[in-house]
Amino acid sequence: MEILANTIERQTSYSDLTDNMDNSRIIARAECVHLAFEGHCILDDVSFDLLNGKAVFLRGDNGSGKTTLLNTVSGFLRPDKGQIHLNLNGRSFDAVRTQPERLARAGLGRLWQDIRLFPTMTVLENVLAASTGLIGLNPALALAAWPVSRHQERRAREKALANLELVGMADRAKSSGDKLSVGQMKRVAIARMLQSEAELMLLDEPLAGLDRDSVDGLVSLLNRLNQEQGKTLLIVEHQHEQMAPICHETWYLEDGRLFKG
Amino acid sequence: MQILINGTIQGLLFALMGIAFSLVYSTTRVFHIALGAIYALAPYILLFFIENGHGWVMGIPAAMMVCAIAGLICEETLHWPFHRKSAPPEVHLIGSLGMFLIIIQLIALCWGNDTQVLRSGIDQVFVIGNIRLARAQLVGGVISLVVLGIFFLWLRRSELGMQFRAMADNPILLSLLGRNVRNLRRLVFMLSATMAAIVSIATAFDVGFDPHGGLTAVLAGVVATIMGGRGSFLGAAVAGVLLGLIRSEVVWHFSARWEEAATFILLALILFYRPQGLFGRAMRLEERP
Amino acid sequence: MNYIFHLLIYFEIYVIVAMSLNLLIGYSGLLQVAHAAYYGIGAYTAALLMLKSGFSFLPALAGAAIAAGVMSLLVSLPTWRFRGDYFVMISLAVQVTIYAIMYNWTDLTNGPYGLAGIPKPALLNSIYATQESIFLFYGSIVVLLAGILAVLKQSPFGRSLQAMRDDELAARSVGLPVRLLKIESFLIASAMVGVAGGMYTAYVSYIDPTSFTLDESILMLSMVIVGGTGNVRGPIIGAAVLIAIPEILRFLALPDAIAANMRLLVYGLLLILMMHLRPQGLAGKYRFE
Repeated sequence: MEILANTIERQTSYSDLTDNMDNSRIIARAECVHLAFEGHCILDDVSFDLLNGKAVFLRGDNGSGKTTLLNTVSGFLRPDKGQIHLNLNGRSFDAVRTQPERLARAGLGRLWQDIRLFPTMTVLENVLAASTGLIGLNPALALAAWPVSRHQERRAREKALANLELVGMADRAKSSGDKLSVGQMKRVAIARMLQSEAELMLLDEPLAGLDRDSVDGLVSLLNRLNQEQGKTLLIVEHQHEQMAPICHETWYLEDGRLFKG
Repeated sequence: MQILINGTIQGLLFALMGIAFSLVYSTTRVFHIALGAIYALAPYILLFFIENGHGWVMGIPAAMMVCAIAGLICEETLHWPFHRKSAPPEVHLIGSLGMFLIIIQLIALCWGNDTQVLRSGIDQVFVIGNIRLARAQLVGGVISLVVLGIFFLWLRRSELGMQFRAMADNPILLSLLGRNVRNLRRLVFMLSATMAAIVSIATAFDVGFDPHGGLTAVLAGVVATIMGGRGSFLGAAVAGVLLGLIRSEVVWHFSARWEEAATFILLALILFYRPQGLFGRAMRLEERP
Repeated sequence: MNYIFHLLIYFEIYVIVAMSLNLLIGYSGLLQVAHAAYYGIGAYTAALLMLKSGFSFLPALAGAAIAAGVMSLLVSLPTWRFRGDYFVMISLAVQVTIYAIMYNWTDLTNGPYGLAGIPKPALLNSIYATQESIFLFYGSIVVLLAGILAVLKQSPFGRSLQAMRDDELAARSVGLPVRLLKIESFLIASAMVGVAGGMYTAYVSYIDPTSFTLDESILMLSMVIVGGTGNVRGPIIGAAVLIAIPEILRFLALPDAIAANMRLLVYGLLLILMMHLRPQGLAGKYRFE
């Protein structure tokens, strides 16, 4: 059922994407990405290499194109020029030509600026929705292979609860998605990313709207995800000095141009 | 050549219908399907005036006014209240569907379901070169052209026109102007209804009318709007003319049965190859159709 | 007593229609106004298979489901990407076009004269000729389809539809194959209503295009709106109300000619009322700001 274009493997720049040592594996590479909208240049010749296991802090003022950059990396927007290659869970993807849902399934997670939990579903259901590899996603199989599907559901449920435990929201599993505080919603969103086995996590202003205590908690959670779970983080924030300490690198986006700090 | 002229005239009417629908849709994002019912209403009002001895001179303005009021009612009872509550587009749509039903059924209850005519006998025919045009066709074409012309001039030259264009471009931004928007919206609904009335009466003179003719008319308006691109009035007009031309060709080369199918196929082609429409702008991620 | 069964059979058919539309609107968040067109495709397919090709009832139902499903693919494959408004507009065009085909393709459908003499429903060798037997037979079909829907709703497929309806962008960002989900739910809903169309055909033995118009689509939409979306009781309530209203009107001794119009009028009012009072009939999307 592969609907869309498959991975492009001929490019020579791929040779260094599959290095022996996992730590120097490039998980995302952007080359000369250019995007303009209505005459304004939003991304101007942006290039970077994001190494596996790193936490990168992407700073920039409002309107400097940070969210747009995340949109292009995650496949939601197509740049006018340039290339973006991703290497997720051992497979290579051309983010410019691949549908975002396919990238997500491959291991790219996204925390939206406005969080975007599913409002009519409970916390647990929100996380379950991100489960991968369930045959019950296909209606024909959900009917025909009902017992298998149920079994997989149970396993997915256990995994979801474990992920909620990790982010500290296991006790609110049955809560409705819209009755939580901002900080709690963000944690659920992170659990969602964990459920979909995200290797690379793009976080758009994770600290926005949080009070002091919640900020500390979330920063420490992100740090744990990076250090203990080995997740690669690309964090966009336009203030918040709290983020810098847990990040290996700081990049700056100014007028569409990317600078490494 | 005859086909081209027929198609163009039909297209001009479609263009006006497209403007009528686009006026509301581009500025308020409301899917004003009730416009089809307002369209259906116009000739009946005119008929009422004619039958009661008041003639066309009073009848036509009266019909236009009644339709404008109907349009205003849609805004006041449905779309403004929904807008205040930040209702999603589905709510506006379903409300409009309900209004569509109500108005059409009221027409049917008062005047019956049968087709009616505004004039009896064969229409006067004009012959220009080797093109034959019915009087009603000619009048319809000319009036549409004039109204379209006035509309575009007004859009470009007048203060109000500029506000309309701003609203079509970015309704949310304009809503920050507050009070102004409410009146602009009212005007939009009334103007749109009036235009639909004009198209309806012109068509009614040509081929008669019944309570259910509004549907194909509003559909033409919808298709013209999509084809033309959201936010572009010129687009809707051009698309309308194109629609008329193509349908005319289809009728000639195939048969009248496939007119509606032609509309749909054309719509499908445009959406497939150029989803933002002929004149539309590229849209931001969340706005994409 | 026979009359009660008559109403109940209609009720059963409408419950299936409502369940199928509920899957589309309530669960997948895909609003459309062409459901009656797919119902009609199912009806005509079943009729033609039984009349011209000698199919028996259940195979004809299968054929109806397949035909309606294929039609849905023709629509959803090119248009899955479109958001709400555009999707509705396209469905409007689909409804009108399919109606035009039913009306004009006289070689196949007999046009406005319709198809008559369609055999009664049958299972293997037993023909169900009495109201009561049809009621029971159809009842088992309803239960079967309801069971299928229930399993689907509990499955990851159902949950993914809910997520997609709630927030498509977020759904995509967690890896849900939105395109496929839309096409699949559209397919299932259309096939199901196609089955309902086949059941209708066999029961009434005569069909013509007038049962499959936009008005009918709007009535179907009303069932789901009035009954509430996204749950099990909704379709039952919606179908019951749809059946009850004409009966109430008849009880008020309205002449039949007026009754049809009054029924639609009442529905128009109901739709508007629901949008004002209980818009969360569109589950999950409406939030009071």
